[in-house]
Amino acid sequence: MTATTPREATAPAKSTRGFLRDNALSLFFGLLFLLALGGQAAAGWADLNNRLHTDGFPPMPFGRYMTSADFAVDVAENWQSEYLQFFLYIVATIYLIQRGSSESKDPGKEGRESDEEQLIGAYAKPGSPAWARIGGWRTALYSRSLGLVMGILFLLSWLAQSIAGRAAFNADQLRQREDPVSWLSYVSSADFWNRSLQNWQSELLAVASMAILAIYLRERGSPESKPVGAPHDATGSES
Amino acid sequence: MSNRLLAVPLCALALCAVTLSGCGAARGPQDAAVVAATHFAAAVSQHDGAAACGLLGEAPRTELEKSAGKPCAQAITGEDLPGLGRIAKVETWGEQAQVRGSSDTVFLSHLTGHWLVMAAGCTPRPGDPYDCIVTGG
Repeated sequence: MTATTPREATAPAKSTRGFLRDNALSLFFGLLFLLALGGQAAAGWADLNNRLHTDGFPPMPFGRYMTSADFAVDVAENWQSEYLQFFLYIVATIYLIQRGSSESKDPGKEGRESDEEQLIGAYAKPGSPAWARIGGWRTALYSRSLGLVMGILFLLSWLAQSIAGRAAFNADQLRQREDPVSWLSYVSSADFWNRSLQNWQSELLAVASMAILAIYLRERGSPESKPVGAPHDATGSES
Repeated sequence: MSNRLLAVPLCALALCAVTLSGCGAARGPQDAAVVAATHFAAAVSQHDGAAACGLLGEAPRTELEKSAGKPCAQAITGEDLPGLGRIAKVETWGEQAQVRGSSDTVFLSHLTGHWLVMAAGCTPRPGDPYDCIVTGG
């Protein structure tokens, strides 16, 4: 048996604390996500059982609700709108600016910017990712990877919404003694577009509000805000 | 959170959605729904009221007894229910099923581990729910 020095004993604790501090933002939102998802599951289950009771059907067990199309479509319709929001924001802010907003880049910098500004190819730094340095299709792909992945996640979650939405819609149709519909009929239905657009409008409103409110309002210490003393017309790095 | 980490639950959701969709409408539930609908139709045609009512959901059974003023087993055999005929199409979505025969359409629900008839003797009405002889309301 070897004696443990105080330094060795405290090292893992320090390492854990370091990990928590370095990833606090992701862990905080990850935890809130799980809590909100659990809350949505409980509320959605109660809501579905209320509707089943009204229609003369017995309640659905919680475990079955968690694997049901009703739960899946409610989750997916919100996910797709979030990924659409980030995809549009990432791509739109390449070409469009909002003078005075900390969410915008500087006026005159609209577009993809030069290799020097983007630190790619010959301008890559020692710590730059390999695909930023290598050039060719890999650098071109890596230069668009964030928007691309957000766009793909949006399309995947929207597809999931359409598939789960159709299944939930058809179960409801059968409960109401009506015929089920095809996938094509469903994606042109009021149910599908109501679910999609009600989420899109709220996300777009939130982005527009943030871009405009960030011109005039401040949140001390937040990287999402300009410094408190920055002028209203200071945009992006100008602040 | 990295994009890779985000993609994992999303792909799981997409797979789950596919499983829950028509692609996931396995033969097992469809066959079981057809068996229940066929047994129900056979029981009615053979005037076996007890057997037919055993395959009827609670809501249509209550509605039938209320409207006929008789116990279910007597009331069901008095209804003018057509036989299913040749099975033309079966669809199952979640806990619900529709069995279309050449002479009748039957709606079923998967309740307490069994498929039970929720509506029978149903004729389509374009743009409206089916008009059913036996239904839960």
